[in-house]
Amino acid sequence: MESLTNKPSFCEDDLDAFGEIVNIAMGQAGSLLAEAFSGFVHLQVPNIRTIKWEELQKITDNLISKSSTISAVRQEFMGEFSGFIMVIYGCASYAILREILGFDDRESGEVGKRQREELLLELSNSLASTCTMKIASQLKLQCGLKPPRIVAVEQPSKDVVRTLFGPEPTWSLEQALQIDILFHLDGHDFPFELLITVSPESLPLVQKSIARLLT
Amino acid sequence: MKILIVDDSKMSRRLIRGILEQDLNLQTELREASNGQEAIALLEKETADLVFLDLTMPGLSGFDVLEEIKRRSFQAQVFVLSADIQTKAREKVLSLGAKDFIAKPVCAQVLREVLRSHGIINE
Repeated sequence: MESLTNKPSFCEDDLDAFGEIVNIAMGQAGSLLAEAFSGFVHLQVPNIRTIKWEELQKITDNLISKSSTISAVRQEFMGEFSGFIMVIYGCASYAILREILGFDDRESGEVGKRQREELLLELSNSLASTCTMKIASQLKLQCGLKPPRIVAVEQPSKDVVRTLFGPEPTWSLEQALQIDILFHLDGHDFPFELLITVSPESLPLVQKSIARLLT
Repeated sequence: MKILIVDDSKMSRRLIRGILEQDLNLQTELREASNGQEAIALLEKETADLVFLDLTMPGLSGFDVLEEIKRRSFQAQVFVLSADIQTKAREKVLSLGAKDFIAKPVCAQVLREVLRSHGIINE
């Protein structure tokens, strides 16, 4: 991997081009979701911005205000395009998933727990891998995914938010790139959220790829 | 031929413009709009023969623009170019009067084929 000496700063054109790349990846993930639910998924323009670790942590405050309980899955991606993905379900969006899929996982004990985790892992992995790999392939950057990991299953948001994004990374003082994608299932008010954080060490390569695309 | 490209991405608009002007060598009078409101405002001022329309945009979406074009009986032929590749999205835009749906990323070969199949270009 290329070593980094200069801190990248994303200009408006870079963010615009990257937004279009993310848009295409989001479209693929939306299509996959629509097939899984035999329904229609409303897609919105993804929110993309440069962000520091400290600011990323502030997102959690917003999550608390939006939902009393949270289910979340974290997945890391590595290589030339690296970072991590959080798929976050509020209590209402998780209930909708269960209802649409006809999935009764309310059984208590180990069986119910395993079913809940499987539902979250499977769906999150599909969305995360589709989005990430599609972004990386358009940028022509190598990328691999680690297995997804459950962070929370219907836990009170105030109990999990402080640790939601994991321990502070080594790049915490640098700028990362934050992508926020909301998926709205047709007929349901509660979206679920895909947060992709692209690590600072990938950003020069991302910028270089974008520059190539723009020429 | 008067053409309107509606897309919130500058890169995307530039790409489509490049394909139309350089790859397809179309003699066009090209206008661009970066959102749905702008597109409707431009169509109110002057007609367009063709509209290349994105779906996912801030404010008025491409679906909204199609509805508005239909409601106001604007005469332009609309081609939707979108990353939203859901079957239902495609069905919806066609039911709203779009001539065709092209999945992003758009390439010259596909755009040429589509325009040829609708008799817009002959080559």
